[in-house]
Amino acid sequence: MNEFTRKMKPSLSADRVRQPRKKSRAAVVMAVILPAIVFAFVMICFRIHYTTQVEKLNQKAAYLDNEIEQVRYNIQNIQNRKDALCSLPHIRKQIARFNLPLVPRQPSQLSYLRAENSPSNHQSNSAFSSENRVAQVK
Amino acid sequence: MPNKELKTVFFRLLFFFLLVIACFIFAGMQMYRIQITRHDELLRAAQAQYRSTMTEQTSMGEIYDCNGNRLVSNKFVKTIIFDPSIVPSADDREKIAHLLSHLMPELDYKELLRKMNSDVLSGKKVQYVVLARDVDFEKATEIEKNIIGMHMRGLTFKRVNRRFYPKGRMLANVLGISYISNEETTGVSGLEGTFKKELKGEDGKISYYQGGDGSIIRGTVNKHISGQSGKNVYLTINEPIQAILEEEIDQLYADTGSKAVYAAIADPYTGDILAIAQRPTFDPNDRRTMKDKLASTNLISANPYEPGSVMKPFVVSMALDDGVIKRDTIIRTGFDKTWFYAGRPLRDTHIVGNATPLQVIQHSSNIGTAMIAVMLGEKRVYEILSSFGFGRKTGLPITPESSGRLNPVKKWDSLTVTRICIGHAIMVTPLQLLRAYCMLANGGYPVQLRMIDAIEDEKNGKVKQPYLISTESVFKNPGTHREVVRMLKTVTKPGGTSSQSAVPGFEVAGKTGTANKIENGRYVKGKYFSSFCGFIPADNPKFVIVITCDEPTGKNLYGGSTSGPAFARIAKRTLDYMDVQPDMTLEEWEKMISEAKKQSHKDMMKRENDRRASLGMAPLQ
Repeated sequence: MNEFTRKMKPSLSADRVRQPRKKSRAAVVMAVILPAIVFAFVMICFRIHYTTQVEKLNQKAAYLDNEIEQVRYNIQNIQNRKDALCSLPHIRKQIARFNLPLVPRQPSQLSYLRAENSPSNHQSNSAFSSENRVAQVK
Repeated sequence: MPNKELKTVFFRLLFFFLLVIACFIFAGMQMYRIQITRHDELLRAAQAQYRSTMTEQTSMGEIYDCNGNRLVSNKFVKTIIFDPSIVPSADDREKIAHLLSHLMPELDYKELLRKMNSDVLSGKKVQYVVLARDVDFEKATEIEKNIIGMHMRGLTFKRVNRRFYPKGRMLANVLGISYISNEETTGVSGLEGTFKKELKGEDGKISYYQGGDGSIIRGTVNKHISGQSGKNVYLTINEPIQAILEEEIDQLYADTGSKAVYAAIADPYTGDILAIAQRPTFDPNDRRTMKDKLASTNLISANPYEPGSVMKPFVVSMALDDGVIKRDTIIRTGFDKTWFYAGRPLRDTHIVGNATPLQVIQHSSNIGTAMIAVMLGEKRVYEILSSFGFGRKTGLPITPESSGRLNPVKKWDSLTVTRICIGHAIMVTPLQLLRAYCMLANGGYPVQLRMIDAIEDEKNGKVKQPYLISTESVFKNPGTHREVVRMLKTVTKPGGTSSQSAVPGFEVAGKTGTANKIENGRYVKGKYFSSFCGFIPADNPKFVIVITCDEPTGKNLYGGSTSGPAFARIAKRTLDYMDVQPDMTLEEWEKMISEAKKQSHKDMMKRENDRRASLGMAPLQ
């Protein structure tokens, strides 16, 4: 202890005695609040980023939905064109255009043979039944 | 630092700290108030702002033939709309008009500019100008992308759902047409009109949260009401057979120069209409072809007429069935082609003489048929015609449909019984004739004509429509049907009224009819309804065909020489398509024709000898 200190009043010197270090409450609070604020800030930024990504995906999904719809409409229109191309008047035009040598079959070109032991010998009324379409063989 | 200063610092820090805490507490209280106390109220307000509802458009049902070939479909096109209020600058409008006319050469630049300047020309505010309709979908989408890429404003490409008829004129009168009204497509005639409710479907409603740009936010879609696409309708029509029929009546219409031609093909056992057509007709894809009233009317169901001799088989067949006449009964029609009944003459086109019922049909004798009808009596004749469905609609979904005219007996005069049996004093539609000939073909069983085979929807799948076939024949005697077919076969053989209706390899059963038309209550000379009704193969018919020419012109006016040959062509092609095995080989058929010719010659000789005998002359050798 130096002379100045020795000459001090006891009350004062007592005050000037190095006291044990007390823990700062403010520091503890700051050690909790500051990270919390930083954490909250980071979360908010992440949420904004996430929302932006979702919005971009939304727009892309809407665009793809629209594209799918367009393709669906195009498919329908192509089917319509196919149906029109399969119509007899169009086929006739193509036959005439390419001068295709197609002729109707003549009765003399067809022979029908009948099987003796055919399992289904009866003739059904329907013209479209398979029995009428299959040649029966002897 | 002096104690006082430390205390000041401390209190200031404390104050600041408390202020910060107070702010946080305040923020917390606000959050509690907003998130907890006012949660429901604010949530509703937010939903009202961000929730939106849109209509989920469903597609209209389509119409198919019995094999699933599409007859009526949906076609997507775009309408180009311009909003002048968004593009006030004349330079910009010119740029847009120039660009559009460049991308779509079919659009005239000046016409486009005139439309775009309609607000300037009219002096009124205009926000909706249609620049082009029915633009091909793919092409319009490409143009739209170009326009968006160039950042041009004011143009909207609106998707429109139109009806499309891929087969053009085929079945046009039956299918009908649709119109677009208030952006909705609605059937107005034909099957499109009859089934407009089934074909239309119901739009659904979707609610969702929308983002800032109006797009749907994924995961927030919530369907309130599910939409239902229109139902698909499957017809009994067979498209290839329909195409054959249309081609042949095109040729018949051109060859005969008729005012109209109508024809129909049906399965006699099920009543399924396999094909039905008329000329003139129209192309539903091109509304300009509908200007002709005759073309856009359903003549085959709406126009009854006096059919003539095609009615004879009904009375003669029932007279046989009742036992009033037998197959070998001799009907003495006389040798001067005229018979007087109730003071009025009835004439045959040629001498028939002493004829069996078969010969009465074979030669289409008016006198013979009238004599048989007189034997039956008025009441019975009326019952017979009624039992074959005359005077009643067929019930097909073809509108309008006439029930024809079959007057009750109390309205008949003394002559009616002799006229009605030969197809006069009665009005029928071709569909009624078709139904009646189906009965002759199938053994006398009344059959309900069918055109709708099935209706398909998302919920129930494909639901088949019922068949309505009576199990009780109009013929009480099982041999009657055989005899009727035997009589009708002779019509298409040598000696009959329509040997041109014969089909090589097959026996055809049919009847011709040529009836004068009535105008202003009087029969008109030179104007006829020329018909042929028949079925093939005669003993096991696959289909019945009815063809009528309205006012044929030229050399050939009779049913046997106009509708008869058309019957043969249609029947042959249809049998080929159905792959029906011929009744006999070509040699057997030619032998049958040759024998029929000989028989016909013998009959002619006998007739002549009978005539000579009645005049006291010597017979021919």
